[in-house]
Amino acid sequence: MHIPDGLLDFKTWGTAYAASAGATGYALYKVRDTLDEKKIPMLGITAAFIFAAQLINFPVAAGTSGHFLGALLACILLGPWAGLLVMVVVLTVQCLVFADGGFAALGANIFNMAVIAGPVCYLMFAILKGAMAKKTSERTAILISGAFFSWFSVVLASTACAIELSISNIVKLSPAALFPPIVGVNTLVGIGEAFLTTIILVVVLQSRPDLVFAYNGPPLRLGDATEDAA
Amino acid sequence: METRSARKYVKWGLAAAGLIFLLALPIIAAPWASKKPDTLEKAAKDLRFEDKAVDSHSILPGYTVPGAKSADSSTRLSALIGVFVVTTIATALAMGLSLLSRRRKARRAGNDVGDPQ
Repeated sequence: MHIPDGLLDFKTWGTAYAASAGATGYALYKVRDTLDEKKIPMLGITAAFIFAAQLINFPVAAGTSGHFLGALLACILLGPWAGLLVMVVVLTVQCLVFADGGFAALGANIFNMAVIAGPVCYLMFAILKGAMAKKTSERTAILISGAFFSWFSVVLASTACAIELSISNIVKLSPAALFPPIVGVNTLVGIGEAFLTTIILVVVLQSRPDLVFAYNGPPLRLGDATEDAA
Repeated sequence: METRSARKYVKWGLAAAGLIFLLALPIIAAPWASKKPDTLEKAAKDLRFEDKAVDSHSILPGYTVPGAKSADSSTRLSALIGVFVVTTIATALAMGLSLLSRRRKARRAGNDVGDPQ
């Protein structure tokens, strides 16, 4: 879903850059104010894992492949703004070092895969999780809301991508032409996203729920019980 | 006391091993990933706007290392480099923000002390 250069006109990539720069600047400000020093390694580890996981393309429909995105996972683990920053680092390195995504298009790629798939979807995730947590356990609420919105984050990001392509005066195609191959196929890619996100959340919630930003309950660690008894 | 710190070392060792495994797995598996075009590339091909895309310049374009022994090792090496670069930048960013945060808090505390009662 990384848009290369040449497909977006100036008004589109320029606006996307402005929006992404604004969001990133705000995220830097928020994270500076709220960063817990113990979370510093988590940012590096999450960024590393997301970069590595994005390398593994898996086949979806005939002749197409998709890959993991990780934006919502990053936000669930680190918080919406730190998650955004992690995705910005990953996308920027992919662009500058590996030419995965164009340089002019980097603003749009960040907008789609970091801003929209990140804090925007995190907000929706948090609303559903909050509503569900009243009826079920917090862990279940995180897993179900996380599964749905990680799927949705891929669909929404691809929708933004398709819209950007359609409003640019370069690829002169209507949304009706662009949506089925881009958004439609990404509804399948999103299933992979939901799957991997859920597996990771299950493992982390089981072992170290204190590392999950979205989990506010008391951390339940097997070690606590045995150490108190010792 | 000794068992507690020994247990801590074991915990940290296991966590580090787990992390290395978690990162080594995709790096090693990278060449085996599907080489089919992703959704955007396929749409560009099918809807014929592929020729409008411009190739960007970079050090390791397309996750290949020029001069690597084979395509597989090229992919793995670039994956390894990428993981290293991303981790370094993300950690440096986090540390930088943390430093700025501490300085800001120190300045605030200093200002409070200096306020006339």
